[in-house]
Amino acid sequence: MKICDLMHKGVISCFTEDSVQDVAKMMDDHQFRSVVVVNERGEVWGLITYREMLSRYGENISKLKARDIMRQYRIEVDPQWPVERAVELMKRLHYYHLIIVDPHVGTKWPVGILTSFDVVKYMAQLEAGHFEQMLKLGREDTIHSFSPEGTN
Amino acid sequence: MHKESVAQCMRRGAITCSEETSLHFVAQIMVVNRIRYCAVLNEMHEVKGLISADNMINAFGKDFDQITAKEILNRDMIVTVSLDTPIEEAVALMAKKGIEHLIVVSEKTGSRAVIGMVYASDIVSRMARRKEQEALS
Repeated sequence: MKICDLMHKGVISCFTEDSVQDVAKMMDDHQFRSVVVVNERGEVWGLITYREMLSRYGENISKLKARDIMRQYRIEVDPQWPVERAVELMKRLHYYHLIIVDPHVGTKWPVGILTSFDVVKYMAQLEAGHFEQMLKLGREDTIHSFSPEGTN
Repeated sequence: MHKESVAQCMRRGAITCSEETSLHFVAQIMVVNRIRYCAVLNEMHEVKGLISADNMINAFGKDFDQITAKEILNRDMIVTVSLDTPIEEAVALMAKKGIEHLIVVSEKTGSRAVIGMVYASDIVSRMARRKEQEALS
């Protein structure tokens, strides 16, 4: 299995000068945990995840720029690598979002993103037919559902 | 203005598994429910730990039908708040610990039963919408 088979194709990106308010809106609209920050040439510059956003809660985020809060990103991952190599990298660096860059162009253009959740999807080995799987899971009594007294 | 508490931003209920659940099944629970965290409960319905997508990958390459949730659960990730904790305090706790979720437990019943969870996604969407709300009011 190669990274390109598993990764999320395409990234949500913003420019270094965009406001954090816009980044929050992007995350909310697309339900993405990470936004790739690119420079004016479209090269990968940094990454903003929920973790960076949380530390700015309560501040005036429309005044902040993406480059002020982003995490520098310098790892280059090729889409043709085997998944094992990516997982190894995640474990070693504790980076759970890997930005995949296009190896065929000179610049670091992002083409996709591989997160730990994509790896879990691979581990789950669920075949097509999402709803059948849900029904099957629903029958198992391993999932507890409960509501403690006095909380509703 | 009335101060908002965790009760306004949490999601009630938590998706859980038991200590004996195999990792393969935990992965399926996560994917089908589209969550990144699965709380591990014992027979008494007490939280024993949490499994995140991030620590699932530590078991990558092993036979995850044979590994049970008990073996990889993370006890350090159990960070609890109560329903009346102010949101600011809860978010500060998340930022300090570097986590993206909080477990909300009941103080009333005394059993520390799980009522729900606070997710970073809900906090970020509050941040995104705050400006619009201010403009409206």
